[in-house]
Amino acid sequence: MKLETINLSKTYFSERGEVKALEDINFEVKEGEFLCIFGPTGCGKTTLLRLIAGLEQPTTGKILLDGREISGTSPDRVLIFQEFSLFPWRDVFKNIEFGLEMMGVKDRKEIVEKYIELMELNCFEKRYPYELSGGMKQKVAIARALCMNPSILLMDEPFSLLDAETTKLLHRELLKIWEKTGKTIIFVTHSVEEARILGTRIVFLSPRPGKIVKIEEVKKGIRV
Amino acid sequence: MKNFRGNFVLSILIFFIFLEFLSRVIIKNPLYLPPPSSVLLSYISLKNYIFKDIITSMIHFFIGVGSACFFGILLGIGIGWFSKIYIALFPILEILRPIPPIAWIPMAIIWFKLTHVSAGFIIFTGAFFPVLINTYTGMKDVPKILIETAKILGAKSELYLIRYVGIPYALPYIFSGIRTGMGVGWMCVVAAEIFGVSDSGIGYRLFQRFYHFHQMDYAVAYMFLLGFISLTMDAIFRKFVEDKFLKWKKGIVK
Repeated sequence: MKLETINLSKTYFSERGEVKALEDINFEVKEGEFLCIFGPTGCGKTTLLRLIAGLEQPTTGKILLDGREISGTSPDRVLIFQEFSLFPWRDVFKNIEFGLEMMGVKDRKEIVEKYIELMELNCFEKRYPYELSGGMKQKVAIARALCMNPSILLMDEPFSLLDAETTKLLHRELLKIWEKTGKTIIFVTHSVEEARILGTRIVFLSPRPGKIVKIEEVKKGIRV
Repeated sequence: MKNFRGNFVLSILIFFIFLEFLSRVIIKNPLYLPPPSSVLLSYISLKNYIFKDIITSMIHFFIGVGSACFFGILLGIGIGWFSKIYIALFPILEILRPIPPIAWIPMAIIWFKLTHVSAGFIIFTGAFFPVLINTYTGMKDVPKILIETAKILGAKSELYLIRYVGIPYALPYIFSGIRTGMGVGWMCVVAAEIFGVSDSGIGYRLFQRFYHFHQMDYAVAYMFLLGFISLTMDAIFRKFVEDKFLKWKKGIVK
């Protein structure tokens, strides 16, 4: 699947005036690509991801998925948040199962177990979120997203609340999974290093309002 | 834990001895303060109707608290989740809320006559608001990120969001509402039974013993009975309902 943004802009209107978050965003993401979006804090990276996820509507412009304009959220584009977003009342297994349950999938056990295996979460199925470390929580969130089998995985600084060691570990795991599944990933980050480690291409955004400064290809050699 | 239980018994024992002394040596008038020993003894002479009284009060209690939970939770979900329902109903609820249960007695008599339902209604008016307010608070406080996560993962409609995110999140709040409601419910049992809905019941007996016979030891015996039943029910609820459903909450599972 190919994702394309056309003249995308987003302005927030409030009583204190309007804030331009994004302006004239044009780029495309090819199937199987690992695209990183880099920019300073407050440049609208998160907004861009939320638009693609369908949680918000653009002020102007549109987002096309295989030529068709998107509207609203869809299990096709799963967003993983920066904050921990597991359902605290569900254990690991049931958290991962959530999306399948919403979709009315019948034989969920096998699928869930497959992704528990893939994310190396065995032995943790019955744990509740409060018993997990931050890194674990994000791994569960990734497993939960993957088992929806989305065509695009959207990640909003998913590792920024973790310590450096854990982050490194999860970088490696994420790349492994990306290679294994061939998923298209759009990854937002405020660290160029992270973008260079992970991405095949990097979109640089300017501070508010977010505009594309440049798009850079990452040479294979630099990547781990 | 064992130590705690020991302290508990000791504390009550000392209080008991103190009251006994106060009553027999200083006050010397069982009408003002019946000695605890005669309160305990009165349970023996009350044994013929004590069980019937408990059952009658249980009926009143469950009519009242049951309906309070049903309507309180339903309405609480409604006003907590949908701002339009909140805007429409909040003023009405705020006007009704401060009305004490006893003030509803005339209405209860007119609407439900002298029946168990009438007593249940008085208990309802006391238990309803704690359930409602707690449920409402829980539903209103659901973190936005969990709702968005559910949407992203394919929750198709408001109904899905309420069923799979709102209610599970609000459950601890709802439970604490039910517990508060049950406590208030027992407090209302006396008010619910003093206007003649039945010729048994804890509240009925308590008041009758005082009003007609001035048997204060009997009255105090029933006061303690009320407290004891309320405490027991709360403990049962905590053990069998909260511990079972709220395993995921930090601090409840040790």
